[in-house]
Amino acid sequence: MRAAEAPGPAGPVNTPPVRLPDRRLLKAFRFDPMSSRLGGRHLTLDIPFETGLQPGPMGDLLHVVDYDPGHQRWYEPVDLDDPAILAQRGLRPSERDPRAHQQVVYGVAMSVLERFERFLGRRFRWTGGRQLRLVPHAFEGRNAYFDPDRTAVLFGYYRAERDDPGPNLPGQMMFTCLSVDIVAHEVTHAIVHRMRRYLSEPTNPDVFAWHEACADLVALFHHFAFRDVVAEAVAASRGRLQQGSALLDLASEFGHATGRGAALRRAVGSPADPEAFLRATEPHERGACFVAGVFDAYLDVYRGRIADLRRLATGGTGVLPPGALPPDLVDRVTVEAVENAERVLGMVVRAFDLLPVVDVTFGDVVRAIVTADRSLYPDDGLQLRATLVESLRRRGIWPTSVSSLADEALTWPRPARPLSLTEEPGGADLSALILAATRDLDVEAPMSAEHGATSQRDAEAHGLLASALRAWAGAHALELGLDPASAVDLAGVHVSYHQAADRQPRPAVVLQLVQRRPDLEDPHADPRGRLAVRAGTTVLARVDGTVTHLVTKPLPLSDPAALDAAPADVRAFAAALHEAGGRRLAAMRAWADRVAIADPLAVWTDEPVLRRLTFARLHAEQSEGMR
Amino acid sequence: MAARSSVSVRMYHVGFGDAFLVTVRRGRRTWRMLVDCGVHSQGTARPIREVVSAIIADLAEVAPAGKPPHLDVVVATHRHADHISGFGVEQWAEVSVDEVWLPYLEDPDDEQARATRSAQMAAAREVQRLALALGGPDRSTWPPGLALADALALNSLSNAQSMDRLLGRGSGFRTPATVRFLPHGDEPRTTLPTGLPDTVVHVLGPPRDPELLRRMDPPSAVAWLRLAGATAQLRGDGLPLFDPAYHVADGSVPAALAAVAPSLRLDELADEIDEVVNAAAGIEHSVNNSSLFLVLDVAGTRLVFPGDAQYGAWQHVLGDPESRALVAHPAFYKIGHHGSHNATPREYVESDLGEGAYAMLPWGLVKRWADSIPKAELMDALAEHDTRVIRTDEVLVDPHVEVNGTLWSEVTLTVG
Repeated sequence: MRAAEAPGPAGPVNTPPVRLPDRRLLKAFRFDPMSSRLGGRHLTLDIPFETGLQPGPMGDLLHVVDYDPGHQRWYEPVDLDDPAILAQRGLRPSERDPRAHQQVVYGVAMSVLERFERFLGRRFRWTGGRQLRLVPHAFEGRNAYFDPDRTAVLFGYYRAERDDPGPNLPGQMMFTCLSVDIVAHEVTHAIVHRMRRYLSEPTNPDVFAWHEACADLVALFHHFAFRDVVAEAVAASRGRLQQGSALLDLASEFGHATGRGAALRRAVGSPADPEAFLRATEPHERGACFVAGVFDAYLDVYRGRIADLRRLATGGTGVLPPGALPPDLVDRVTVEAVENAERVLGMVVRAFDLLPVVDVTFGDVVRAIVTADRSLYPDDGLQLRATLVESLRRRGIWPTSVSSLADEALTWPRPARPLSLTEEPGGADLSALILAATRDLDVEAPMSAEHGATSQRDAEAHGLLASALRAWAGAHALELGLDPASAVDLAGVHVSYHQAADRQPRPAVVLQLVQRRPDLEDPHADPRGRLAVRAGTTVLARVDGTVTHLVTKPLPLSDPAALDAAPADVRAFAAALHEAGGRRLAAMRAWADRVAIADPLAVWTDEPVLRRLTFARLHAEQSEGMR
Repeated sequence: MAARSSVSVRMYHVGFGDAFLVTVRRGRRTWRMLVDCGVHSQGTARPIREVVSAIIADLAEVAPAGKPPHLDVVVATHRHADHISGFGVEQWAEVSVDEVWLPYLEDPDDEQARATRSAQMAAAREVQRLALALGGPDRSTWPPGLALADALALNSLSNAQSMDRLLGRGSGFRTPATVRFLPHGDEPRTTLPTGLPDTVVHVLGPPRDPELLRRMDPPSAVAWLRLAGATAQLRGDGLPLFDPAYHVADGSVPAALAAVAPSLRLDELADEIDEVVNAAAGIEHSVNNSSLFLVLDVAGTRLVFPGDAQYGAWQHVLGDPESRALVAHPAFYKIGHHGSHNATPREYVESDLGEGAYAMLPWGLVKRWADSIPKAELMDALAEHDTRVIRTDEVLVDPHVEVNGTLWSEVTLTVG
């Protein structure tokens, strides 16, 4: 629950009661203890005020669990509603007080979640209404990672080298949970996993790279959420305003102290080189190319947006006088930089609704961005979309299966023949879903459930809807690029309300359908341990049920004879996907072989190497990866 | 030419390791080569001393009256214990050996080779140190991953005595042998005579090209490098992280938090252990790729001994048309690396091996690898090509195969 009239745990003190605030302010290091020490300043996190927040902190979305298995100790959980903490806008960050650590992970995670939610066009919650667990002192080691099995982000701690501590004190204890960037990065992994759970299966070199790119992008643009940080950078840039170098500096600062963003530091702001992307197989390297492309677009648009301010400030000469920039100019430029970050990040995050359910590639991401943005901003007045597509192209990232990079070619295809979620056979009643989603738009009301339940009635309604949609998908399998002879599972359904250029919301129903195909899996391997082979289709529909776009990841049909009975238009569509499915299957197998060959440990275990490739492993191995 | 020529390969059942005695007969002349003699510490079928005694007894039996047991050539494909540990046995001093063939990486005078070798050894020692630091002194409590890492590292180390004998240092063989480091520098492959007519040995690997050499370097993942050589104590320095004032007293953990914790299974996290295991597997892989890759050619009948060459080294062979022709359609194939994943490329079995070849699988049960070694897909693919696989754990009924109890299996091929 968010801000409400409800009194705090201690009961009302004043009569009539004073309304609780909407926002909670907390402090964090800027952006980690080392750079805070050198810079001498802290960040102020501005997050929603959760009422009923328990010590931990434990809220609706996040549980901070400060158990340290290495020392077999619990550390005192912080109560952020303590008046002493409220009155000073959060505990002062300290490496020595575990409660400050808890505050940092909670505050940063909430800040990231809120920003994400803003772009999603709907309320965010974890699967089954559960919470993401944050464990600030989970293990001894130079790593931090999201663990999907535990629904937890685990942070390590370690001692700085005694011989070569870098900028740290020799032998000093280092905490990964105190780095704002690490927390933002890991929480984003958890969010991406929530929205596309099958992207934890690296079926091609882009899947984990996309995970990394998203996590880096959100963590990087999170820096631009702090107006005072941006303003300082702008002020420091003085006459170099036009180049946007201040923002580049801010970007390159990202991940510096932690060593986490090495690939990113090299990529962001580097000259665009398509070869770098084509060469890269390691997820961080590959993901960094995408992030760099997005950042190029950000800078391009930013430069365009501040050109008028510069002309105004220079009386049209374009030459800024030496010395400090006028504070008014700094303010206006800062506003542009911050808003522009929102726009660009928003464009990428909105694309999630249109990503494939499985086996995503960066080409798919480009198509999803264009499709989503085009439906909201058909005219692309700010040239954002065109700039982004071009920046990514310059870095070697474009869909290979399209005829051109024009909007029309990049947009996801429509169904072969008119298709509606409400149409027989199958046919679902979407009204309960739409009602629940609409109710959830009221941020001051408690949330209903999507999976799992806050109320029995919601759960039953959702169960009915899910089985109706499964039946519908089964009945229209060929039209959806799925196999009529295999069971269809519903991996997710939601309604989102994105605001379009005309400021009207555009409600849309998004379905994630998935099919596991044991008949195409490795018959040698233990069925419980082997790699799953899945097809998936994302269905985008209007709230009246009309399907507008299909995002297919097909597999060969188990019985191609099924095509014969289909009407001609469906047959042509399904036959093409059957063929594409054959190519996709071959590509996935070749990739699995390639990874296994590159992995020395594959000799010693029968667990498929792609299953052992986890976020934990990925983050431990930063620069080398597979050879 | 001689009317009766044959070549036989006798596989001694050492357990998880290699020991092959190759005998070529051309008319009345014979030539004998021993390819490897070692067993893995994790999978000994019998003490390696007994195998060495059996080999020497077999050699003594065929030696002319009054002559010592003799081998024309002793080959050590690479320095892993499961290929050379047997050479540590003192009884070898009774055997006269003409030549010892080693991969050029063992050449004490080759600077590049020395650097690669010492990097591999240093990394293996580092794995052992880290395993001890992470696992503590009581090995019985080590998680399986650490035990694996330690076993792999051990396989690369502690073979000094065997190497000394092979290099002609210390007690050596009965008379000093000529030591060759192969392939010779700057040659894509080296062809060595045997003294018998139409009988040569082609050495196709290890490769000398820098890209493939890099594969022989120890792992360079950043996390591993940070761990390796870390001076900080890795585990349990016992110091509390925070002032005890922040510790929750036992039993007074807030109920809501205490309820969440068990589902997190936090006591089972093993981050750095994974790093060490991966590094150990990487070192093992690197040393395997330093294997001598031999083809024995007796008047067109070819026998392929790839050592434990893995993917990179195999690509070097298959990528060279002349080398590839030499390994294509052999009469005999020694299955690489105990039949494990990626020591026999699928491509080789599918398009080069041909139909009906004899193959030997030097294998002994190591429980924890039983599911992955030998690789089921490989064995299936070999069966599809009617490969006659001679194993230590199964009897192949075949007129050309002889089995001596549990001690050895032998295949004899007629040449010409």
